[in-house]
Amino acid sequence: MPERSYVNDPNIRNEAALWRRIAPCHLVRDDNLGELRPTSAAFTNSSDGSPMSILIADIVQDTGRDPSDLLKPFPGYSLASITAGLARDQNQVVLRDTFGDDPTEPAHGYVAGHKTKAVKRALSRNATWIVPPKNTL
Amino acid sequence: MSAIHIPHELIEPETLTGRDLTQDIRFDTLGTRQTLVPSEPFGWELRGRVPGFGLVLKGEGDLPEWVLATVERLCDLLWLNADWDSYGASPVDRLTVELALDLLFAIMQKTSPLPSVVPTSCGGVQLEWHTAGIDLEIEIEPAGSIDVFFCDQQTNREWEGSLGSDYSAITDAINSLTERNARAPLE
Repeated sequence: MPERSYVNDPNIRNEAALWRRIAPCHLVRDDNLGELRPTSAAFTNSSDGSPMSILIADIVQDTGRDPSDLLKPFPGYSLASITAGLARDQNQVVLRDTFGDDPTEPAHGYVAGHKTKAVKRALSRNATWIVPPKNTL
Repeated sequence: MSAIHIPHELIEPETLTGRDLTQDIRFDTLGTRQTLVPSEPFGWELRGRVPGFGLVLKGEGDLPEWVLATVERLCDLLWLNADWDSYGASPVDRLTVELALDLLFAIMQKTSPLPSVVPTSCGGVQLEWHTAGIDLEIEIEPAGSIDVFFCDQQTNREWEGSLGSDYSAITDAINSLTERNARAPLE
């Protein structure tokens, strides 16, 4: 399989919200921030080496879906949001899935780039809840 | 499930003195999953089952405050199936959990605050503390590599790097965390 090139899509504005599902086991209590937030381990590239998957909020909304609709197949999960600008500030590129990796999801996209611990921390600490966790730790 | 050869080690009573927490782990092929409970006669003994093997930890003296919940949490991670994060994550690796236990017993004090314990997408384990103005994250990967992030908001000290066999840097971080957490006013 030829190596892919992940190129930043300038049509995705810096203000654009990028959503990521958060598994129940990826919630941590941050007493310094006084909140329950996703762990930095939730903002990483996939174990097969592919970039971090996200959903582009604008496209989700254009398809008439509610954020909670996205989590119906994933009971117990929550939904966190970062901005494309935050990701780019961390030397990541943001792009739509033009490879057809998830043909059933038109909003599927990627945040691609090497993710150091500092990068993952920046993404997790600046994430906001779209669908917050139901239970506190 | 195919048969698995489980290494056995004879457990000797361990001496707990402050930070000098050591452990031997003996693995038995036990039956159904059990809850970790403290028991005699060694002072404390924890038994539990994780997929394919049993876990026994023993020590003398009082059970450190952080041990029970942390060991339970680590064992819980081993029950996660593949794709536990909905993005294709790998199951947590048993040897990584063992390494996490070794590391914790090497660096933690009796009254050190409880870490958050989370899985990583490639089957590793991340231990993290976010309290008393300190952020400490220790990521243990299946290949055995250990990456650390430390930030102290009070001293503005921050560092990140890979850890070798010398745990002194994270031991110092845990000591700071423990001391500062002990001084924090009760709510």
